[in-house]
Amino acid sequence: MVGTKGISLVPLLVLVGCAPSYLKRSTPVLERLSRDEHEEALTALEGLKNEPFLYSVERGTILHYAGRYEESNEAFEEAEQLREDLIVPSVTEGTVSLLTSDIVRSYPGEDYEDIFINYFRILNYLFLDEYEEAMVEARKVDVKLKVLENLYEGELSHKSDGLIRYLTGVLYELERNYNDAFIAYEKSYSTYEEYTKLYSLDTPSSLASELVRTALWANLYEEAEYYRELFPELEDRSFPSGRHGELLFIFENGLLPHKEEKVVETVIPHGEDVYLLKIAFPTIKEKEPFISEARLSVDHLETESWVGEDLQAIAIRNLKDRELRDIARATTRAVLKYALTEQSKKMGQRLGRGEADTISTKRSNYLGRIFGAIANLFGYATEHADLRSWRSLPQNIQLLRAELPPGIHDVHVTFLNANGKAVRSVDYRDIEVKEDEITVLRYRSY
Amino acid sequence: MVKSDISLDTIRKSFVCIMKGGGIMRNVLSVLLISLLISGLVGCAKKVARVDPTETIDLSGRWNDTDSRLVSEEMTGDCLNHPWIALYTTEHGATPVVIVGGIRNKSHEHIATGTFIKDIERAFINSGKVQVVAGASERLEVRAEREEQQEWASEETMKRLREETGADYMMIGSIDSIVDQEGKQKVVYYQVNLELIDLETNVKVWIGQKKIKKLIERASARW
Repeated sequence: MVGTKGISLVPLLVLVGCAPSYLKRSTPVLERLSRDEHEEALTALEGLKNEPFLYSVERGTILHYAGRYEESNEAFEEAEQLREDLIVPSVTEGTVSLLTSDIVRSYPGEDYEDIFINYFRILNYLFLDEYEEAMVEARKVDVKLKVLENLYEGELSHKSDGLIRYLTGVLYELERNYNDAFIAYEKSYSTYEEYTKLYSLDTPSSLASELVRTALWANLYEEAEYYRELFPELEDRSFPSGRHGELLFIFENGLLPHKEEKVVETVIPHGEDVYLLKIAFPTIKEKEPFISEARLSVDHLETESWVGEDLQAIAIRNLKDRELRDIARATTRAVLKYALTEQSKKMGQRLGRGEADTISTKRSNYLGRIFGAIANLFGYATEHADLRSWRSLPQNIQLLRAELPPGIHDVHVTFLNANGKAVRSVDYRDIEVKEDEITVLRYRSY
Repeated sequence: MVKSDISLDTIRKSFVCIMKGGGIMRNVLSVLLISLLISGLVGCAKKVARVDPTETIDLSGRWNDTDSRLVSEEMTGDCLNHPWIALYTTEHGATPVVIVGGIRNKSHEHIATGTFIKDIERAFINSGKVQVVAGASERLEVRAEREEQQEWASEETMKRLREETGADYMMIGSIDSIVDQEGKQKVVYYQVNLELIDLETNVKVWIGQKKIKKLIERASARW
């Protein structure tokens, strides 16, 4: 799939030294996407072709928002296969990266990015009314999460995904398979308990009624009783009698903050010279989302959204989880760059050495210092943190569920900022809610 | 740029220690440079070879055409060798009519169940022991054509309405999968279940099961 065999050293070094950073190159894509100019975003994306994984996921995302769900799935499929190939460590890239920067390594995606491929694919299939295929995506996430759990032996924070589990529950409900829906909601519930500890995210209140309701419908009376006692504040709305349908509103909020460079720089006196030491690694700065919640009103019913996934917190945590590994790599790199400097110095000295007189000793010394300085500067200039990431992912994803009588409804959604002030609103006209079915609406803000 | 809060002093101190060490670094460097040179020399050329469609080629480890063919052949073979056909034929004096219904994909992969269904239908028809009628989606197309005929076809060639053959049995099934993965190794286990159900009585006359297990090993490094 990936032709890494033909890699030669020179372009790699040029790439590290002078090429514009990924952040710069990907910004035009984001700008266009956030203005809903999908065609233009796709054109701008061509500039990211040398980052195959990111090219594919960004392409999948743009096509998804453009409503081209089948093509979006193809792009995401490609991304998943690329990841499988790229996650295998490359000897060449590994070696070059130790002398230059992590940027020369192929980017196979962060673990959470890999999982969000399936989030978008679930939505793609859902919007295409292909529930069976959407379920395949949910099961793929399950496999991926199991691998993550084994891979890092508990070291990793993001081992389960509350939102995807919840959506899996929704998919099972759509299939009227309430037993499996209950199991999915239960898994989602235990993940949210984990999220509370990790990201101080509250367990969604609506999950309680999902648990009790699906347990009852699946004739799991003991379980229903257990959750009913666990959530005594639960209203009776979760046990509907008679005809009803449901509306699920998904709100993808904002843009995930990008990675930034964290730098340790210092000048160390070294013989008659100084040594410039620079160590760079990535970090993410927390950013307050512009919109804090969505409020939906339909037929005099008003409900508020809850955060189903705090992607920003997950991304930050993900970097923190492997911070030590990152620093260790950066330090190893610094040591090798130092060795390269020393080696160059010796080479310069050897070149300058002629007969053993004072002039040649001076010349040798002089050349050594120049060679050393050049190598040091090369090492310094190439030291960059790897700031690549799937940039069009939302900052957080919020959900909202409303039970409605079957029929045609007008839906009004208001978006509030942290001060509770309405900053945006959107109207959906003539939304059909069918009996025993879940109508899914989605809104993306940038 | 964000200035670090990691103790600069610790890094500086440890680095100065390394700078005083020297020696082994030269060897490490030479190894690195040599491996770089080698990697630059390894090229690649495109190769194309024609293969027999029945040949088993496993590339990604995913469900592929070989799986679909093997499973359908083996399962229909088993199904056709069971006494339900003989029982039906002696009782009714005709070959049974089967409709292949939905095969549900409950696995972790997108499987084209359509080709699988076709493989089953083909094996059934070619055996001559059973008749197969068109499935739900094909039926609609055929019916539309028949209705067209009522208006446009000549009387001699026009096919009659409401003369479809009702199936006696329906085949339904599912493909399930279990994945176990640790490090570079992955075991994928597929289980295909097929059932043949009497359309009038709901009696199951045959249940078939076929399991496929694959061990997939990932390379530990690439160039």
